[in-house]
Amino acid sequence: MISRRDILSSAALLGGAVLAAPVKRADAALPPGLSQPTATPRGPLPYTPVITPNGGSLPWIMDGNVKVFHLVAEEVKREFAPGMIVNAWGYNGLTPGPTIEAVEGDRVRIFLTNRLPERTSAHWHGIILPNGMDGVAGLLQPHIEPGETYVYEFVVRKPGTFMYHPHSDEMVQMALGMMGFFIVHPRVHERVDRDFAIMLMEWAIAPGTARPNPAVMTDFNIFTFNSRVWPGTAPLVVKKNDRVRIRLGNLSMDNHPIHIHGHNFEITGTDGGRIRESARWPETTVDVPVGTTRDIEFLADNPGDWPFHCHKSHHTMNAMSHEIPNLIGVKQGSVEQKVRKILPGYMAMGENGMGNMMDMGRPKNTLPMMAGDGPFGPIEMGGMFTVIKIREGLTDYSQDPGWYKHPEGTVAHKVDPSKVPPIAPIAMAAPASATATSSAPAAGTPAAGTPAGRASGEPPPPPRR
Amino acid sequence: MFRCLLRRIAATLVFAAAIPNLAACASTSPKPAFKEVSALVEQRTGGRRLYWNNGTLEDTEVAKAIARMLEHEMSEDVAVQIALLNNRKLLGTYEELGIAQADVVQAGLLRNPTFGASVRLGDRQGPLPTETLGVTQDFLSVLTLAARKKIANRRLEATKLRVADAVLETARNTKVAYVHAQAAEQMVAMRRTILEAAEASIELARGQHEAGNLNDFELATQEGQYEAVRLELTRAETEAIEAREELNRELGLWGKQLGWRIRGRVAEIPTSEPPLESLETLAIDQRLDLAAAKLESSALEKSLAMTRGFRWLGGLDVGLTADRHGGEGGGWDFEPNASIELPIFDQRQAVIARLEAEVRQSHFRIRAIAVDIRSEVRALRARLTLSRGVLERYQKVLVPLQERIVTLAQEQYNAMLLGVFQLLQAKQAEINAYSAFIDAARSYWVARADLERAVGGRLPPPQGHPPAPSAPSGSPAPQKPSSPQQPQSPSSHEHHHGAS
Repeated sequence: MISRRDILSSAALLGGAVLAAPVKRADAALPPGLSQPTATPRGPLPYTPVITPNGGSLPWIMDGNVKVFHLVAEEVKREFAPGMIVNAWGYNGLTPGPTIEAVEGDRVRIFLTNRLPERTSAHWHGIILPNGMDGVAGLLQPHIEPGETYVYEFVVRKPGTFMYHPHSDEMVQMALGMMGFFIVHPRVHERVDRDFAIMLMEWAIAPGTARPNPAVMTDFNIFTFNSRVWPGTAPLVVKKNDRVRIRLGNLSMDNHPIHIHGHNFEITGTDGGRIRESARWPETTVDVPVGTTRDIEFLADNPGDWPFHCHKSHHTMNAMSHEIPNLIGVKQGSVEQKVRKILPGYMAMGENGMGNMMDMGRPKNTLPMMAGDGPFGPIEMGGMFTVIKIREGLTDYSQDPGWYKHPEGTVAHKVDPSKVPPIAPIAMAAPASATATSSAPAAGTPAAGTPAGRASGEPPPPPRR
Repeated sequence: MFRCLLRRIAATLVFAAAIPNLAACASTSPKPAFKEVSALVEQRTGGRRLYWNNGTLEDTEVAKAIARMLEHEMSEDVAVQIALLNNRKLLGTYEELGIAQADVVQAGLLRNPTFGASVRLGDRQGPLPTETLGVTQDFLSVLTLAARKKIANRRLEATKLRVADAVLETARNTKVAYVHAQAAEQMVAMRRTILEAAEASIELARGQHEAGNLNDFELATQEGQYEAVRLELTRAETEAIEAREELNRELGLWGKQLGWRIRGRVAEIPTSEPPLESLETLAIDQRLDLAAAKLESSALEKSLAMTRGFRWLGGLDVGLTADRHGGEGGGWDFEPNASIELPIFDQRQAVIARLEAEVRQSHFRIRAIAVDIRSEVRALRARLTLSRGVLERYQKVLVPLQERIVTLAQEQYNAMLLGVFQLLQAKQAEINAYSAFIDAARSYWVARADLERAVGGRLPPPQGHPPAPSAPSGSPAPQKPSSPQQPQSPSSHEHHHGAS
């Protein structure tokens, strides 16, 4: 959700027209340089611009040889997916805030206007800069009170994927969505065709509410890519054989193992900088720790619709309760009748798992726990999930190419039961008792790693149909 | 001179002999008095009839009428009517009328004359008469007859009022017992629904335990909660039985008459109250116990006046003695005589002082009753208004709110944001709110019955009925109330399944 204001300022600064868009903010005591901007038409950029899915980059103007940016810290309304709008805090109408892009060696001047109801500051996470520009309020600078504008100015000396976020009441402000990427491109251009930036974040937004709860430390219920959840996350559109970089930043309170399908990648950078080629190894999952960034790169040589998601399964769910009773395998037939007598609309749930759930309504501003329809049925996902769409002969990255058309014979399909080969018994490894020494299971509990009720070493039960 | 006196005494005696005939005008039958009470009660209760068993064919008719009334679902009006016809304590009270009526008759009777005779044996030739016959009449009772009758009549009037008051008390007690019985039945129905919810919960928990999803500790905890809910139903059933017996006592029922049914649902309250401002004055005008106390006080005053009037005239006997000298053949000499008590020692000062104190005491009693009546009326008026307020809060806010909570809980449940146990708890909370609403309705009706009793008559009739909140879905339908002895058929739970 980009605000009108943001579109205006983009038009003013990126389009090259001399437009006084920031004048709309004159009430907030704008720096003089921005109220009368002199936008210079620019030629082609010396780097591949970063794509921030469901977001954008912060426009700048040149003041001599200084790149001048203006961040506005403010309350924003953010649609996480159709049907859920969150009362968040962010920058320039967005959460995460717009991506700041600069080139190694640039001098940047960043104005920060505070339109929040409380004071703030901006810390430039990972960037090597003079101590007084590091943005830690109280320690290195005064807090920026509501209505005030501060300016930061420094030279970005090292390329890499960095972040910005407040360092003043940061627990609350980050929990409400205040964060963004600060990307420094290397002066020597490295060939990359698609360069995505995805901020990982988790939120506690009680069903039926719109305001994240900053008091929650572990029990989050919404997990986002750039403050969007599946099915609201934009696909990553890629042409076959593109070299793709995905920059992942994590300002949440958990690590997130982000997993790609159909490809291997290498981790090429962190917020400490580039990783030497000799130090890289292939992966399909990158664990992004808290308060770091990870760049991954791969050759998109395998066309298709490839999921890209956090591998913590609860992180690919939307709002759900973590305290509902466990009813898996509990026969509910007669109980359902009983409950219906007193609650006519009641339906038993959870007996056979939670997939394929009927949508029977839910509190307002609340997304279904799992959602998204694919060409073959419900995708049953949510949260940190998106699809990398790799196509041959793609001409326009800005269009969603739709669902992948699989070549004949390359899709799993149902078979006639008579054509299913017999299931061979599994030859079990050596009995656990032969090797177990101190780790013998307590009496009455099934041995670890063996099916319940069967002592280890016994032959497996006949397969169930 | 002597003749003259003789004639006078004779006249007095004739007069005295005639008095019993006068007194006979006052019958010992209390029927007219009962009729008056009956009329008074009809006027005060809005047409309720009274009947006093008198060992005639009519008794059977009344018994039959009661039997007929018990066949159908009994309304509050009918219950009050049965109580007035059948409450044995009340019927016993009617005998007070007989007692007072007899007192009136007694007051109209003269003290019987005394006859004396003596014969002198032995020496018949003396100056003394050989035979003496005499009749003596207490003359004072003749003189005070009218006053005594007046006093007795006032006491009878007071008794009528007391009896009518007892009728109103019985009517009040019956109304209270009736609404208690209704509410108790409704509570049992509510508790039953809550138990159903608890049964569903425990069945699920047991299923979870069996499937390996719930540990022994958690299951035992839930079993404990379930047992508590079960016991609450038993407690509610006990209360229902007690409430039913309370009504049985008021209605004077036993044996085969116990199968009666009432609407197992407390009536809706009227939309508005009658004007409550002038109720104090109304109560002072109407209260029968106050009026009775006034009559009793006036009877005491009358006694005092009479005692004062005759304080110097203690014993007054007049008599006639006939003497015969010389046995048979001798002539009779007549000697009229009179004796009078000389008020030398006892001048009735003690009796009068006692009566004076009693009169003053009765005045204080009247004032005390009046003060109490005013206070009672104010307190009950406040109770009525406040219980209406509580009830309306439940009706307009709390019960709808609990219904909404259930709807929202169901919505959350549907999105798997809430467990089934919490959903069932929300339902139980809704039913509990509805139970509290029933309790408020019961308090209202009790307050109303008490207020009617306090003003000594009916309040102006209710203006209309507001829509009461419907019973929570799934709670047993109230249209088939049953006595606690007859367990409700399970099918009766299946009504009232409105979409929630």
